[in-house]
Amino acid sequence: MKTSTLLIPVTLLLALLATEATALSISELRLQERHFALADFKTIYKQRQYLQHRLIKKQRRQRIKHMTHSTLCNNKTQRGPKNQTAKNDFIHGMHNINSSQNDTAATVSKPGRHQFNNPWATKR
Amino acid sequence: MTFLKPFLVTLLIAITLIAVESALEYALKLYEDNTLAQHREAIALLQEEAEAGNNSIAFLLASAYKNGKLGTVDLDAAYYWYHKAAMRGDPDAMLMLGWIYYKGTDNIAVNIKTAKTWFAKAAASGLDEAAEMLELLQ
Repeated sequence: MKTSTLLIPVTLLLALLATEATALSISELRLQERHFALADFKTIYKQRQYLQHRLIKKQRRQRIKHMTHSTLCNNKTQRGPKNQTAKNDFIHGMHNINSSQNDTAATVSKPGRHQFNNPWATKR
Repeated sequence: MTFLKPFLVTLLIAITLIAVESALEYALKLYEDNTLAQHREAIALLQEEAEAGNNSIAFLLASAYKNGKLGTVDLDAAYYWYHKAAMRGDPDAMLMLGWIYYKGTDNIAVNIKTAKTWFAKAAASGLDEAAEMLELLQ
């Protein structure tokens, strides 16, 4: 009777020991998986941070390029019109200004020898 | 005679415990030897045990699918078993589930919010790794 009473805790102890012996290897597997997940997570995290950083830099560069381009375009429009008719008018206008300036210059400037009005010629 | 009945019940429980644990031990051995894929009957038994509520076996199955121990790497199957174990309160499975949501698979889109939720649950269960991941995501 006493031997049989002892059998119950002995059997349970053996079962628990078996459980613990296996639990160690499954806990090792769990630990391995946790370490793997953490390492992989950090790699993906760094990769995404780097890509995000590059994207921000690219966007900033594009914005600056766009802004510089639009400023240049604005300056160009200030200097001269963009559409063809306006361009023609503009060129024509510039031509008129230039020609009138030339006329004025012709009258004001010293005439060449061939243009010299010889007073003696009329007297002769 | 009055003693015999509780003794038999205890013996039965002990045998069941040993049988389940030895099944896990056997599966772990096959897992380590990379021969789990060759034992279809063992996989079926493990799946039954995992469905019945054994979180360790569910975790082992998920890890086997994740690491390609049952053929090719199958993150969707791994997700299924991790999810089963996580829903039953397994902290390691919660962490792995968060990792899958953070990484994304062919069928599971990247979801940082859900990943954070699972990491938070795992961290609340006492996993330092999950707390570290959560801290990085904040």
